[in-house]
Amino acid sequence: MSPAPADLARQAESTDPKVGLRGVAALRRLLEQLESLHVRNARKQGWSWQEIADELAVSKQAVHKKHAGRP
Amino acid sequence: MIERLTPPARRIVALADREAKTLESPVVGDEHLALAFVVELPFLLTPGLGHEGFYLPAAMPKPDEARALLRRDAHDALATLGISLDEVERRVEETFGPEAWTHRSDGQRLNFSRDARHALTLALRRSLELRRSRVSDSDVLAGVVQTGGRGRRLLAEIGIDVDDLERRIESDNLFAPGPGFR
Repeated sequence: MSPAPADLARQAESTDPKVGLRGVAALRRLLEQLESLHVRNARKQGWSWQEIADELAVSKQAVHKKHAGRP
Repeated sequence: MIERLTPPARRIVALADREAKTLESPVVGDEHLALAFVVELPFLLTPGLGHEGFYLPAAMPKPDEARALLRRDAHDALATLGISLDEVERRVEETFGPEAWTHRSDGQRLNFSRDARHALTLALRRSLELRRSRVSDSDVLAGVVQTGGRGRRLLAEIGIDVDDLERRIESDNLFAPGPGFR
């Protein structure tokens, strides 16, 4: 059985790389926002860079380079 | 890099920083540089206020429209993944309070996004190719357009003929009036 036109349209939409890529880019921006928010919260509560790095599963250097110097 | 910018170009970068903070972005993106130009357009019309030569779209774009477009972009893009940005924001505010997203003091500069850095690099390259000692605001605009990221898309969405703009950039003719411009 061939798919209904509405299904075809939806399928075309979801296979459009632009839709997927923009979604991923927006997700990355949201991720950055959330990371910065939670790192700030952790620092405010006295967490060390090492503790934050452990929870984020990245190196201490990486998290420090990215977030140090921010309030 | 910043020290190589002319004063109007610095103003664009400073404005982009402010817009990024207003839009709760953790970085200054090329879209914020584009937005800064939209905000600056009325002032660029006034002689003596750092006018380095600007072409203008037939209808003056509105900054609020551009800001709304950027917000809607993010909402729509995340919705395609099944993520509700409203819901994420609601939960964050529930936990951390309404001020949670506004995180930097005004005195503190945000970092540039990869695309914004790319745009500024292209701006610098353009100024060097044109044998200018400094990077002008029109070089920054050229960099944003040539980067081809969200900034370029934003300019197109608010009614700027980006293809025409690109042709002008290639022929270093950003200043002359053309079709669709006054």
